Order: sequence, then structure tokens, then C-alpha cells
Amino acid sequence: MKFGLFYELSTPRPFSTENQRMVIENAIEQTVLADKLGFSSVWCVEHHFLEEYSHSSCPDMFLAAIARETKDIRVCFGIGTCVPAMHSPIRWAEKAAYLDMLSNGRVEFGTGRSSTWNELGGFNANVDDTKKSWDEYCRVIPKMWTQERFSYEGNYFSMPERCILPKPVQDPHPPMWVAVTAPGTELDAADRGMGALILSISDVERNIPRIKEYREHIKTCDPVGSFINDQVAIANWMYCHEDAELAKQKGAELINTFGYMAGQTVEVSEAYPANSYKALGLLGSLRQDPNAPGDKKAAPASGLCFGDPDTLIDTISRWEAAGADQMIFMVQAREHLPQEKVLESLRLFAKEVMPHFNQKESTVAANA
Amino acid sequence: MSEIELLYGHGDGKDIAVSKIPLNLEDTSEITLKGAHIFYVLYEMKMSAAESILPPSLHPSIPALFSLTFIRGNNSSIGDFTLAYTGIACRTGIKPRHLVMKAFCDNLKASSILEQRYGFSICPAKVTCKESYDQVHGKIETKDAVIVDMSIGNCIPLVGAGGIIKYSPTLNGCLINDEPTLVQFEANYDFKNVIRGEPAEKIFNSKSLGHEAMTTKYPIAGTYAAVDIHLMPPRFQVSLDKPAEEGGAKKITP
Repeated sequence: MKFGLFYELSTPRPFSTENQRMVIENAIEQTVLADKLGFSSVWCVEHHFLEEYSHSSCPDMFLAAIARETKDIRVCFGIGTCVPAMHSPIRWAEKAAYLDMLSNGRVEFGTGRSSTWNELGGFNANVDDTKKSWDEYCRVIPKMWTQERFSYEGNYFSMPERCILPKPVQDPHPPMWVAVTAPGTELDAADRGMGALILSISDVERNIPRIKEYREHIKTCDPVGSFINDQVAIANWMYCHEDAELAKQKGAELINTFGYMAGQTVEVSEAYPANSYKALGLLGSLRQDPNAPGDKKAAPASGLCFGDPDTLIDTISRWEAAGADQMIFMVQAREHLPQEKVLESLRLFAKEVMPHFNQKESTVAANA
Repeated sequence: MSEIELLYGHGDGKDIAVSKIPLNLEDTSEITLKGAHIFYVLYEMKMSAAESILPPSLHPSIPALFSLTFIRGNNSSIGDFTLAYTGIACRTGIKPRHLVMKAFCDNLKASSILEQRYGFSICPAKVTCKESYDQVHGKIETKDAVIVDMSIGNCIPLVGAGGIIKYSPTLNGCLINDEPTLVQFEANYDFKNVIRGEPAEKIFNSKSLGHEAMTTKYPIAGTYAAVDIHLMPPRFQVSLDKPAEEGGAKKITP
């Protein structure tokens, strides 16, 4: 089991220089500490126009800053949007390879296609084709990294022969991932031999069938890259404190804050219903209406990592048993928690929780 | 961190149609409109306009949107009718809603039921919604003039509509205990088929539809659905001036 951090860079109003810089600087400070504490990865989303929810329009720049201030932590696109109106696949291949240079081979490349009208409408993107263009991007980007010269004629992207530069440090290339929010996307990842970055605010048990199906599908995959990245990373929240009840309370506040911000976006199904967006994404599940006036508020999901170290060891052990390879944590929401509390939580987690899993890893290695 | 600044409307409520007919909360039976049709068109609008119209209890959606909806209920238990209304997208808490600006209906009996049961403030008008071979047309004609004459074209079918399309419940201005209040109108939908097309307007009188800021400069899409609609009794009421986060949205107790 490996551990990472995940950043949306959510920002409180007013969007002053002070507030915007604070969010970025705090995130960098957290990541630098996480690198020293033994966290293995930092992931950064790409979002546009999502007021408060995410001011992370340039994950490559955030990750470049991280890369130069850290030694070991992997710098991961979580994700780069594969929509022609937003990016050419050439630019993604170039940016990821450049970051691989700057970080000396620490890049992981997550892919996705956006699910909000805010973003797709803002870029005047073709909503009906995002799945198909995403598929094409996933297949060409690894070839841009590995082939000396590359040319292509496709449905959503074409180019004459060129040498796409630089080439990445990692041989053959950075691992490829897919962001998974809607049910079924994990199978899209598996069928292409890509890692599944599953954003889950639910119970561990609900994800067991998804992870099992992923493992089954990837056995017969047609990999888009030069190797199969058979990995499941679960992205959710973490707040670790000696006082378990306080940790849960703060955790609930983080989730509520996240839900409030996510609720401000407009899902594709609300604005531009399309065959390519069939399932409710994360946002839809966050704000479903209760079914009847007497319905009680659902209990907090059991898969969230809020609690004292013992609670977190138990929760993460259940994720591990479910088949997760990595836990990627969001540790902040719109600067709701004071920065020092976030850093304390990371330190406590590294001191009391991580050794339990590292020890198990060592034992497995020793017995191998 | 200092106290978090949140985004709310700052309208004074004067633009919101408020029904003068007292809401009947005693009748909690459901009404089903079998074989109904919904023609729903969505446009973007200026955020500053949405903020100036929405009351302080509601957040504007981001981006700001407004809708024009036609509901045609043939052979329904409340008669043959076509209802049309405009709504500005908003949120109570994190729930997406549309604040109804103006509503029109061509059947007095149905209007009366929709006003008493669900809080619509309805103007009588000739309202039509009909499909042709490759288009869907919507028209609203008041006693003075045609205020809407629009259509969608280049339509494509949507497969598995129940999981693809989502109508936000509306908030209707009405009186509860003589207090102007927003009451939530919601329904369950059993879709038969849905098409989506590109909106085009011959006539679109924004002012007559509720506010001159509701222009058609940025159309998003229009959908036309064959659907059974189950109208549910109102469950929630929303204050005009107190946000949901401060207790402004609460369950209705008949």
C-alpha cells in the first residue's frame, strides 16, 4: 500500500491575490513535508472555471514547482483533460515529458475528459465526442513519447511526421491512468491497460466489485502504452488526529465544504444531455435528493479516512483487502482547516499509520 | 481563515411572480400525467443579471442559466393542458433548482390545480408544443401578442434517457400563511424517449417571459421527451431571504 496527496486547489472567496497564493503555497508546503515523510505521490487535477471548487487550471505548472522542491515523491497529473478544444495531445506529451525531465523521471500521467458544462461549454467543446477523443489521446500520447518521429491520422487529431520533444526520462514512458468517477469507467481503464484512479466517497465494500472487475478485465487488455499499469488508486479524504471524534468531526466539515463547492458546478446532464454521459458522476451522487420527507441523512461513508491512527489503520486495511494499491488523500477543502493542523495530521499519519503498512510490505518482501 | 464569503443573489424579489392563491397543503395525493411531453430549452445568461434577480436565499448556478419549459399533458386527470414556464437556475444549499419567473397555461381548470397544489402563478395564454418530422416547436401567445415562437432542430435521439437527462425541481413563489415563500415543485419522470436539438427562435420576448436579461444569445440545448410524469406533493419550502445553510429551506408540514 502506497500513499499520496491529491489537490483540487479549492479557493475561498474573495479570489484575492492573497487567498489564491495562500492555497498554492500551502499545498506546496504540505507536499514538501509529505515527500520527507515518505508519501509516494502527489496528484493535481486540471479544472477550468470552477469557482471555489478548483482553481487548478495548470497542473503541469503546480507539479513543476513541486518537482523542484522535492526528491522522491512522484508528480502525477490527476488528470490532464483529453478534449481537443482544451488541449492538443502533442502538448500533453510535451508537458508530461518536460515534467519528467524536471523531476528526473517521477511523472505519472492521468487522463480524463471533464464532466461539467462549466468547462466543456466554456471551451465550446463537442460534448458528444469526449469519450472518443479521450480514447484517441490515450493511444497516441505514449507513442509520441516512445517513437522517435510520430505521425498520425485520426478522427479527432492528425499530424504530419514530427519529432515530439523532449522524450521522457522514464523508459519506456510514464505510467498512464484514468480518473474514475462514474461507474464503469474503471473498465475503460482496464481494457486499455491503464491504472484506475477511483475517486470514492463511499463505503469500502461498494468498491470491491469494481476493483475485482478491473482486475479481471485488465488480464485481457489491449494496452495503449508500452506496458500495462495494473494499479488501483483510491482517492478520498484523510484527517488524522489522536482524538478520533474530533477527527471525524473535522472530516465531516471537509466533506461538507467539498460538497458545497462541487454543488456549484453544472453537470453535463443538467445542461447538455448526451449519450456520452450516461451515469451520474461524483457530483450527482453528492447531491441526490432524499427520496421521502422522512428519509434520514446517510451515515458517513466507511471508506473515508477520518479518525485516530488505529481507525485509519483499520480503514486502510479494508481498502487493501479490497484490492487497492494506493490511497490518495485530499487533506484540505477551501482552506477550511488551518495549515498547521493539516501538517500535524500528515506527521501523525506518517508516524503512526504508514509504518504499519510499510512493515507489512517489508514482511511480504522478506518472505518472498 | 476569516469567515468564508459565499455567493448569493441580491434581488429584492420584485421580479418573482408570487401566486395570490393560498397553497393547499392538505391534498397530498400524487397526480400522474401519463403520455406527457416535456420540451425543455436551456440558455446561458449574465451572472450579474442572475445575481440581481435571485433573492438572498438562493445561490446562482455557475455559469448562470435560464430555462424555458413546456409540459403538455394530454388526457391527464387534470385535463388537456400545456403549461410553459421560465426559470433561472439556482441552488438551495447544494441542490440545483430553477426559480420560476413566469408561467403560462391554456387550461383554466389545470391552471387552478397547478396553482393550488404546486404554487405556480399562472397567466392564461394560448400555449402550444408540438413536434413535426424533424423539429419541435413551442409557442406562447397572450391576449396581446405572441411572446415566444421557437423550435429545436437537427435533433438526435438520446439513448437511456433516465440516466442522461436531469430536470431540476422548480421553486414557485406563493403564499404560505400570508408570507411570500418559495415552494418546491418536483416530479418523478418515467422516460419513453428523448431527443436533443439546437434551439432557434423567431420570437422570444424576454421581458414578457419574466426578465429582459433572459436573452437567447447563448443557447445550450433543447430536449423533447415523451414521459410519464408523477407530480409529487410539495415537500420543501424556501425562504426568500434566508439561505438553506441558515435554515431557510425546510420540509413542509401540512
